[in-house]
Amino acid sequence: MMRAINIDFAPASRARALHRLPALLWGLALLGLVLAGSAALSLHAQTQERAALQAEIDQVSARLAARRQAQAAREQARPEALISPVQAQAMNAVIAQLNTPWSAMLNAMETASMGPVALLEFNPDPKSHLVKGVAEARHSDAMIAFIERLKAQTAFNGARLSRHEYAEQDATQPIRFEFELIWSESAP
Amino acid sequence: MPRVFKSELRIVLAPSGIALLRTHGWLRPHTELLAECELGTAESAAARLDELLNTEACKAQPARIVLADHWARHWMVTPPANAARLVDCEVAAQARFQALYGEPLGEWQMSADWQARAPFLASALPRALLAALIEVCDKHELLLLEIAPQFVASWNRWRSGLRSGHWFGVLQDQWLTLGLSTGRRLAELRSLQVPAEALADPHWLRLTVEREAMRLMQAAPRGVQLCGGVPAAWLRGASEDWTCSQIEAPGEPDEPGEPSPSSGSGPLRLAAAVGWQ
Repeated sequence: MMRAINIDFAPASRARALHRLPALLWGLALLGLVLAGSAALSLHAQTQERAALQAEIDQVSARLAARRQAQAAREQARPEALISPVQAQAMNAVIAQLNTPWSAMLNAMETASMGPVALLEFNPDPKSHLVKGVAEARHSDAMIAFIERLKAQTAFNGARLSRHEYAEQDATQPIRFEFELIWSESAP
Repeated sequence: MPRVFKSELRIVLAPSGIALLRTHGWLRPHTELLAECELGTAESAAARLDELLNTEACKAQPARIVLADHWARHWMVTPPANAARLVDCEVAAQARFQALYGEPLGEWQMSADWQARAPFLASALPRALLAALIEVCDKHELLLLEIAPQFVASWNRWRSGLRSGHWFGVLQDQWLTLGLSTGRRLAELRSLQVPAEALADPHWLRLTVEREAMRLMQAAPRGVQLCGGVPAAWLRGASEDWTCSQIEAPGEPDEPGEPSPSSGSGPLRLAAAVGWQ
C-alpha cells in the first residue's frame, strides 16, 4: 500500500488532535479508565476492610487493657497471704512427713533385716525421698546380703552402702555400716 | 469525543460550486447531501459557505474541507543533501515554489509532507481563501479536522488500491493532476489543463502521459488509475499495453458509446473522487 501524504491546512488545535486519535487509542484509554476505576474501587473496599479490622483490633486492645487493669486492681486489692513462706515451708515439711509411706518402708525393712543384722538407726528424709540408716552385722557377708535384700524390696528404688567400719570397742567386733535407700513414689 | 461516535460535516469546494455533506455511522458510514450551491468566484467561496452553514444550521460540529486542485499548487521538493532541520526543507520548498511559479510564497499558504531523505510533495493554497474559510468555520464553531487539496485527499483515500507501474490521476473541471509513484511513495507530480476537445479523444490521455514520462525521464506507465470526472472516451482508450481505469465506483462499468455516469464536474463529482459519496 502506498504511503499516505501528510498535508493538512487545518489549524492545529488540541480538540482536533483529540478528535483525530484512532479508535484503538480511545479504546485503550477507555480500558485504562475502566481498570483505574476498578482499582480505585478495590482500593476503597480494601481501605474500608482495613479500617474495620483496625477498629476491631482497637476494640479488642481496649478490652484487653481494661481486663489487665481490672486484674491489676484486683491484685492490688487482694489481702496479703495468710500464711508466711516460713510457715508454708514448715507445713509442707509436716505434710511430707505425714505422707511418708512408713508402713511400706518398715515392712520392707523387716523383711530385709532377717539374719545377723541389727538395725540401729532409721531416718527417712521425705524432701529427698531418701532413707538413711545405720546397722550392725556380724560379718561383711551378712552386710552385703542385707544390702542386696534391701535392693530387692519393691518399696525401695535402690539401696547402697555409704560407709562401713568395724566396731573395735565391742568384744565381738561386729561390722557397723551406713546405708541409703531411695523410696519409691508408688509406695503406699 | 472520538470521531467514531460523531457525525462529520464534509465541505467540498470546486470552482463550479460548493457541496455540504454529512456522514453518519461508524461501521458502515453513509453520507447525505445537505446542500449545494453554485460558485461564481473564489472570493465569494467563504460567503457562500457561510450562507450554506446558516441555512442548514450547522454549528459546533467536526468538519473536513476538500478544495479542488484548481486552487492548489502542488510541487515536488528534493530535500537538500545536508538537511538537518525542518527549516532546511522549508527553505528548499520555498525556493522551489519561486523557481516554478515565479513569485514568492507570500500570498500562498504552504503545507508539505516533510521528508528529510526523499523527495516530498508540497502544496500551497491561496492564503486569503484559506483564512476566509477558517474564519467562517470559526464563526460556526466548527472543529476543523482537515483542509486538504483534492489530489492529497484522493491519494490518501485510494492509495490502498494503487497498482505498481501505473500512474494515479485526478481530473476535476478539466484540471488533471498526475502522480507517479516509486516504491511506496509519490515520486513526481504533474498538473495539466485539459483542453475541451481532449475529453472526447480516447488517445489524448495516453499520448499526454507518455510525453510527461519522457519529460520526467521515466518509462511510460502501463496505465493510469483515475478518479474524478473521467470522460468515457478515455476509459474506452484501453488496449493490451495500456489501461485507463476509474478507481472509484468499480461496480459501475460504462456502456460503450454512452457518457460515463461518473464523468462530469462539480462539487459532488469531487466528493465522489475523494470517496465521500
